[in-house]
Amino acid sequence: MTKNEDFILVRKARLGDKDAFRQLVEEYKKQVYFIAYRMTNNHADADDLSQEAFVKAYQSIGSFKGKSSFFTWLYRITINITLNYLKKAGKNQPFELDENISIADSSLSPDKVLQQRQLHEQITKAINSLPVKEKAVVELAVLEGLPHKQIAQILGCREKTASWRLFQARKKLKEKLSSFV
Amino acid sequence: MDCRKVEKLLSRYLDNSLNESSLDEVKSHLDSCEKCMTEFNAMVKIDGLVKLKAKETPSKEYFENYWRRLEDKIDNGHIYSLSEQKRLFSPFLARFAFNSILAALLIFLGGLLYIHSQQIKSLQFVQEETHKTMTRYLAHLRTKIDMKEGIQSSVQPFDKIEKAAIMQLKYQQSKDI
Ligand SMILES: [Zn+2]
Repeated sequence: MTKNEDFILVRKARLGDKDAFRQLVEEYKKQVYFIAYRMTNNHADADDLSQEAFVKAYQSIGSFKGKSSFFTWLYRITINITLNYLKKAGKNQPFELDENISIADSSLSPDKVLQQRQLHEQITKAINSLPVKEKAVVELAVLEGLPHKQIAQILGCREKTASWRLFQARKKLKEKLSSFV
Repeated sequence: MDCRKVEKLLSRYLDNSLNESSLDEVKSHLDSCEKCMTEFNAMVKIDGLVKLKAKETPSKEYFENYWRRLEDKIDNGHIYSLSEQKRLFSPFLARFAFNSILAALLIFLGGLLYIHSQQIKSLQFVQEETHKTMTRYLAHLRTKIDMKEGIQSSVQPFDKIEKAAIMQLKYQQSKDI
């Protein structure tokens, strides 16, 4: 969906067109869910947080001025809700693979699946050890592939700050995952 | 550009977030510096590992039902706010709650202990009084026995309780010996 298509849908949604909002949800539900999931490593939390983000977006779409893209605005809401939650929930996020989550790689043999699970848990453990703000930058830069300028907009910080956090995060991850590199 | 400066820019280089002049400088440095190139390759590998997280996914059905569940919440104007809800379990509040419960428990225990000590005191009092009464009674019995043994007919015969007490007394004496 182009930025312009989003913009038209947003205008309609602002006038109370729920179906227009539904189309926006269909477009971004996975990204929004996955941000929350990868930050919390927990399906139930990711479900609650992502739905909360969409409800908030629906309720406050009138205040969306179109200065950034809808997508940036929506990510910002999601990240804020998730960071808020993480601050309150404390540092100890699980690193075990959630029972509602599977690794999309059906070609693997059973013992390879176990190895894969363990690898995933090691990676999650390393990511979990980062401060939440660095975690957010890793999620947006590495997993979402967003440019640093947009990450800065989403997080409401300067581009230099976002880049610096990412540099720090990558250095730490390199240390923690040195056995795999 | 020196290695230290390049190292700091590698992260931005990797994400295509460098301006053109820096981009060219980093590129040409990497072509000639093995150390920085190794560093860059390690970073690419780390990113590759992190990207494995993208394979973790819930079921297809979950996303199929996503809007239906969301629509219910939008229509009801109800948000179950996890980010707000967790406020209840914030470390500060948890500590506060824990301390309050602990304080309440200590006060309660203190109260119990006080009541208990009062009870012990009154129990001791009763025991002391009983002991005194018993001692007096036994002294009275002894006198009565002595008088009986001295064949003083004017002395009242032993009643049931006295007989039992004498039996007990004799038993005690035989044990003491
Ligand atoms: Zn170098």
